[in-house]
Amino acid sequence: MPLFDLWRRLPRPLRIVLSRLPMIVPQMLGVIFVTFMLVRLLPGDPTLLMLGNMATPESIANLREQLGLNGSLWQQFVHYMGNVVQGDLGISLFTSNPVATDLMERAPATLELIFYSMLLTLVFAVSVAVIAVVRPRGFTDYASRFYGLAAGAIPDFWVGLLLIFFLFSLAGIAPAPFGRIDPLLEAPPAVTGFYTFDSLIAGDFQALASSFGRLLLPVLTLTIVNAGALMKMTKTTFADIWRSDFIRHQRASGLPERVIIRNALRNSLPPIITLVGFLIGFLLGAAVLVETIFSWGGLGQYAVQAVINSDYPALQGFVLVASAFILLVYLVVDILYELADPRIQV
Amino acid sequence: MSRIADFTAFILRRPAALVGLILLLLQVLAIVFAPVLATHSPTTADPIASLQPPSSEHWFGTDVSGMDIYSRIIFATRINLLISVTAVAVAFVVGVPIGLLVGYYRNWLSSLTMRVFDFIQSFPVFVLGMALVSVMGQEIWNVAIVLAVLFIPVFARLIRAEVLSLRDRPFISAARCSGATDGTIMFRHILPNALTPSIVQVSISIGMAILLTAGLSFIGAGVRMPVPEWGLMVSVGSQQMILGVWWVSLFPGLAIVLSVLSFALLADAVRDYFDPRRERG
Amino acid sequence: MKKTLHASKATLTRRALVGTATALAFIGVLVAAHPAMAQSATETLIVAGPRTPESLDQEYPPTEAVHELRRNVYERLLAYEMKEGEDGILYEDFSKITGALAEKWEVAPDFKSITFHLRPGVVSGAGNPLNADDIMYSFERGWNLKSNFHWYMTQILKIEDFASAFEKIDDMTVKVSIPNPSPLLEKLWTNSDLGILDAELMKEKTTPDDPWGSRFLATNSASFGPYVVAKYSPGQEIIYQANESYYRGAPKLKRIIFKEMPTAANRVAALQGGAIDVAEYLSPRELSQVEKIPGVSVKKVFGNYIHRVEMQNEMEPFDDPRVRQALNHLVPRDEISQAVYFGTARPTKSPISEIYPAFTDEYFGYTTDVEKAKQLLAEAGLPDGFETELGYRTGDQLEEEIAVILQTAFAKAGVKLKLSKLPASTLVERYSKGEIPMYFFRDMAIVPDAAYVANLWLNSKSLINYSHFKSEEVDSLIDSALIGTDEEKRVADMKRVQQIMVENAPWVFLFNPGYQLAMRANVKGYSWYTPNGNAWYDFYKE
Repeated sequence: MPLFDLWRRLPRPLRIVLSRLPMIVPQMLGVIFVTFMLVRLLPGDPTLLMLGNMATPESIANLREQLGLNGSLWQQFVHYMGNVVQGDLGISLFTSNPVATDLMERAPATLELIFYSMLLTLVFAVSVAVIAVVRPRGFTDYASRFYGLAAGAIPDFWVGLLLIFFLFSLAGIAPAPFGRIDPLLEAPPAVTGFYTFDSLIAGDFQALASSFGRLLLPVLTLTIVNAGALMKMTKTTFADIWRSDFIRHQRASGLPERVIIRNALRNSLPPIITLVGFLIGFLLGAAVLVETIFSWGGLGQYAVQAVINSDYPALQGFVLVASAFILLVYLVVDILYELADPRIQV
Repeated sequence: MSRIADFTAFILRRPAALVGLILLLLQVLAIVFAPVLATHSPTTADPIASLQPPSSEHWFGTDVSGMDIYSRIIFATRINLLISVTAVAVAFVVGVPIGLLVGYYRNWLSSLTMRVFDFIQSFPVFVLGMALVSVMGQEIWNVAIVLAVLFIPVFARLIRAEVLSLRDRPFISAARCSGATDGTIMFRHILPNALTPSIVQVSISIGMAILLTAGLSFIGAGVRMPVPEWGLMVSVGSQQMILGVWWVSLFPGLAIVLSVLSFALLADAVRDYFDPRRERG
Repeated sequence: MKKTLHASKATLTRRALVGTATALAFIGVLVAAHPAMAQSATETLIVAGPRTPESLDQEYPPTEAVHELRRNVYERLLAYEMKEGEDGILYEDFSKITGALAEKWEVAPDFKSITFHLRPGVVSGAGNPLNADDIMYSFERGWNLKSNFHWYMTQILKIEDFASAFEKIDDMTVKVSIPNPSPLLEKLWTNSDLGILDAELMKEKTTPDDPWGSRFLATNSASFGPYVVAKYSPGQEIIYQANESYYRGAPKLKRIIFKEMPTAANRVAALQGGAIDVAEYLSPRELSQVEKIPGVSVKKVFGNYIHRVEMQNEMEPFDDPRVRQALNHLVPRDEISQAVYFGTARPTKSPISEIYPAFTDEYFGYTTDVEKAKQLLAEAGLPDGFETELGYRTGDQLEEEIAVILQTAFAKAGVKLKLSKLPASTLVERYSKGEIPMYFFRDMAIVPDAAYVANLWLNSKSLINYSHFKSEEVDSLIDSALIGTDEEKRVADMKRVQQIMVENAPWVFLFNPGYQLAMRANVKGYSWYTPNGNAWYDFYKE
């Protein structure tokens, strides 16, 4: 079979990526369809809420017409699909902006939060796990065991509240828990959307300090809670590999510790990658609570408002983008996983 | 019987597991003897006594409606544990077999199932929760259902990851060569070796279930007021935290931590007990 | 080999230590570098509120945030004169109308037409002079978009046809004619929902597929008010810039930065920390705390909000007035006033707010009396009480506190309440369909006229009479008051309406929460207008 031979001759990484691609389009279609249906099934009529005292049968009908809420569900869906394909996610009922604009304005806030949280989580969790395994029965080992148990038990919004109470209300060392930057400072001109990177690019060190300062509490909140899970998993997997035969062999062959650790880490990657992917998705969800507490102005707050107001276009747009993002992450995770484990046949 | 005795002896030798057991027993006591252990009614509002700091009359103080925090924490044990344990049990029982099948048979059905799971897991958790609860209502069972649905893919994925690594190992080929059926291979050979991460995950998941319930209550999509539930209690106190009223959110949060900790400690003990590499005797 | 291992372990430890130390140092630098408490310039005001306006369009349905936007950006034809109260706060004097964009006006003796003579020399934020074309354009746009303007014209003034109602007499004169006499013919034009648009600017922004410039006006301002919108990021902030050519004189505050901070506690923290000058919509508890801070002052007015629990009068057992009255006897008003409102609210004794003409509280007789409630319930055939549901909005702390108190209080007579926290849109849908037996409702009517208010909530034909309260006598009294022009008769009729309504108790009467504003002590000039939006033009900083 010539096609099969051709397939086999492609480099393995390419085969892994290609085998995943065909599923993306139907997946996204599915996401759009289910999102649309679910959101429309939500109770709550936005027009009544918007009109309030001014409601009359005529004004309600008029508003519904304006917002495109008339017509059968299928008709509305087809119309929506057509727009989405062109990049038009509709207009938010409560900000009057195109939803795509709303989301793009708020996405960097959430992404910056998730980025730093994931970075800190990774660095902290993996370092602690490796040290704990390499030096068993040391301080790090016992501390990490305690932390691993405790961290999984702590609600992130509770931690956020406590951090605010202790570091801001009592000690006064953390900046006030609202917004990404001091309200009196101008945000740096947007290049990446990350205030930290943008202020560095613009050379605005006051903005840099302020935005880092305000990232401190929310990132700490998310990290304290999430690093525990990653650390435990890394420890378990790394420990298994660390005690395995081939590592013993490498040690016996006189390889330096650092190289052995690196090799062991590489072999521990698959479950770590899976969990990291899961954690990113989890962080996106957890960001909703943390953004609310810290008035972060990101996607999470936007979504909560959308549910409360039955702002269909906004909610659909948010779920669509969030789902797409997470699907992308899972795709990357699946690919990396198969790349990392040579035993898996494609 | 000797197995139980053996397990008990195992726990008694490990201080961490012992702590977990004690905490669990405390919770069971709180569930069974709540009316006796509580000092006040958990749902009677007394607005004149609102926001009192801990005192001899109200051991943990009162919340904004004047309800006694200590009594509410005791009664909340019932609600929180009921929701979380039910959700995770259902998710485990449903998710593990699915993960096994999906990892072993790599056909279009498996791919489709994984895509469906991707889909469920890619939905932003709290927004989905808010939306679902607003459709179905703020009943305890609805919250449990929502959580179960969210956790099934977690278990399935973990089992699948292990199955993928194990299915091509020599000992599986050997079993196949000796004529073992797919079912035997899956359940007798692969499953016991694949279960370890999932058992660890059970403890993480119960914790997450309690945390998710609390989070849902925080944004108003969990149980209804004034049902005593730890997360709802934290959210009630959240507004006052910044004004220096610390007791309303602190104590229920501690209850969450201790409860989840107990499950984590015990599950660790169980995993260590079944670890074929541990020293016995 | 052992030596290598040992050295590696030491390297590991050393590197870890150095890493930790660097991290700590870095954090230390960040913490030290956070900006010191900044002082705002005397011409800039920083305000934090729960929401930015949902749209800048004049025709967008009014919300609290939108009311405030309109107060600052849109100018109307007429206004009330301002008077200073004993508390140093500026109030509208409902007995004296003054000209805004209209310098002079005449109401025809038959109350069927009003003629506006525009003020010369008025310039818009974009620099365009005011003339009758702006008025006619605003009328036309409003009429065609079938929203706010259309509602007022058709529901209140009963106008049916545009051409016969609105007439441009000359370049600076416009006449509005209505089919039947209306006592509200003059007062209505003080409404900020009826602001006048800058027609020249709007015409530049229309396109064939957007003939009324709706896309432009959703995110930009175009009027003759004291401020223009310099920057609008919905959900984040809105920045107002002074219109230096405003006809009443340039505003003292040149720049208003309004930040959306949905969590009240954060607004408190921001005020405490000196990062903002004004914190809107704080809870009574927060206000009582904030008052004690030196350098912060809290302004309180009676306002016009009425907060009640409405009952679905067509649903059993609420169709029996004795049940409704019983519930009113169960409300622990003193407790709620103290524990929830900290004394900032007054018990509601009438559907009309206390500061509006024709208000009376003489018919309110509901004391907190559990025995009386039980007796009434027994008479209604429910001696053991009944079970029912009370809905309140997600995110509304106050409503939740009151709901929990009511649950305990009602239980004393056997009435078991199931509390349902619902997203606002769901709650609205359920009560507008009559599907939920009890629900919180907080509202205010911006036209200071008892008949107008009664028509909104008590007229059985009104769409927003969600409790479905029906009394034929009340209906006819309201209908005649809407077209009658004999003020004495109107007042007497409205008093009778209040009597019937209070005695029949379609609502569980709760409280008039008033309006309060917390600000730094150097901010002066606070004023209150019926839409409750703050007019930054009146403010200044010392």
